[in-house]
Amino acid sequence: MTEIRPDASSRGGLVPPQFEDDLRALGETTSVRIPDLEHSVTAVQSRRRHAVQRWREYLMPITNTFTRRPWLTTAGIAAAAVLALTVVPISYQRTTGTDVALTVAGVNDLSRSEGIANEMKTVLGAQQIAIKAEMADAGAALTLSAFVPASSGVNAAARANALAKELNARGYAAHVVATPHVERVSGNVYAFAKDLVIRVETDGKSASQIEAEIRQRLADNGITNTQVSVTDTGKERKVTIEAQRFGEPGASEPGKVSLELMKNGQSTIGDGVSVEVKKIRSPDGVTMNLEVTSKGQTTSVTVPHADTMSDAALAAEITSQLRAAGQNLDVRVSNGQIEIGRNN
Amino acid sequence: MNARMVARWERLVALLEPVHTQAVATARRLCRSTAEGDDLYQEAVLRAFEKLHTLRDETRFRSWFYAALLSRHQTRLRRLFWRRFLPWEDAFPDGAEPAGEDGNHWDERTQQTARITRALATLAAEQREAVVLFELEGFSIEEIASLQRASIPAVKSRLTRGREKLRGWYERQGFAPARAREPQDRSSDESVKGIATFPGLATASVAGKERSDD
Repeated sequence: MTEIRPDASSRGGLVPPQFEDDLRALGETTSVRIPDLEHSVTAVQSRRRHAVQRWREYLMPITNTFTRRPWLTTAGIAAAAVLALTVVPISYQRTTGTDVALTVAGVNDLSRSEGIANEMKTVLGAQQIAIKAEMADAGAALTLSAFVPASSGVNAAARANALAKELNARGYAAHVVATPHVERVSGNVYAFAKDLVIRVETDGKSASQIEAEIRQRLADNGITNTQVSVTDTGKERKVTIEAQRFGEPGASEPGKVSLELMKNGQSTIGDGVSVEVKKIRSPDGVTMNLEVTSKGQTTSVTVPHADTMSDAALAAEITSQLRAAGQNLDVRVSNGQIEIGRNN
Repeated sequence: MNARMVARWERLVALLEPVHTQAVATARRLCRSTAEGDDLYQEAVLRAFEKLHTLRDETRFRSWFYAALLSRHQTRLRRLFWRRFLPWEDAFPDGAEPAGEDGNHWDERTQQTARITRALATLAAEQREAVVLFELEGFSIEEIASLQRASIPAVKSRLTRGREKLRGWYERQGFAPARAREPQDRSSDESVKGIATFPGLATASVAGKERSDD
């Protein structure tokens, strides 16, 4: 007999007498045929095993799918990696503009410093100019500093040099130092890649205009000491960019910057032949690396000891490697200068 | 099963031994049927096995296990909301009585059990737990407050409201006489506010001040 709490009056008369009997009945009927502890525990253990097995059953078809189709696994990992790269921010360096320092010596009248600063501000389109003056026997030496953002599209170095030339002509001793302003920024891979591509719109522009724009954009990205040449030869337009970098053997290479010529907002890649030539000088000699892109196919060509080869031998070697890769192109070498075009 | 698991099961079985019978019965009383109650108990045991490492004081195992049982009960109620729409035929079995039992008596008991189970099913989970633990399991208000992680006044309120609701159910089903109306003249004695009288029960005040349940 199950005991219920005695004295119904203690329940404040809220429950009917029937409740008392029913409670007793509930107590009795729920107390019979109680499974023993061992039986209950065995049942629980079995439930636990089945729960684990159920999970395995859910996972098994997925595992099998990937086991049977390895390409799906690769595609899945690649998709996950691409997703991660586009979402996860990475830290990288970006040239955000140019720091220009104009030093003007021999300024006897300091009141003229304001005029020079205003001139510099106008020429560079800078928002502000910082002036530092140092007194010397021969007059004050002014250092005027400004930051020109790359987004302004101003060739800061060229304009500052022109200003310095003009100041020199007025009797000052002016000198310009223009250095790329590099900042560490954070963004995804897409933003990083976008920063490394220089796009130049060519539509409606002359060869000299395009040449100036490329030079300026390269300088904005910290690539100085370059020779840019854009020439129109009948139906074709030839763009040559030469840059030299000196470093210790084994030193890390600078980040690659690509040039993309645009026409009416569309990339012209694929319309012609793009050749990237890299000459690496080492104690063993000069190794020439070429990346030739034509009709969407890029072929890498490596020519060791290129400095010991004649123009004809070099052309033959490059032609041979391109043909081996399925690219039948016209290769011409003249005084070490390589020209590659389509066979007519 | 590795040795660590075996040891954990052995520890749990040893702790469950003294409370097993009562806990199974409690689980059944909280549910609508024996099968559901046994299922609830097994879920509580499984939960206890997984969380056994959190039990620091083994002398408090009973409270700890009951708290787990109540937690599973509330989770199940939320999860199995649709079950309340199932028919009642499968509630506590009306099959053969246990050996040695009088058949008629057992039939009556079964009907009474079905009735109170239906009545209890109308209560909120916390109210049902409070009523079952207090009336049938002999837990004190303080113990129930600890198990339900509630304050003592909250448990008292659950008990009072639960009983009111039960009475209402019994009245609507015709198992109890309708409650007497409050007397119109209240000036005579404050303590007779809300007097309810039932045949065979002592008269008691339900208003005015909180009663002591223990």
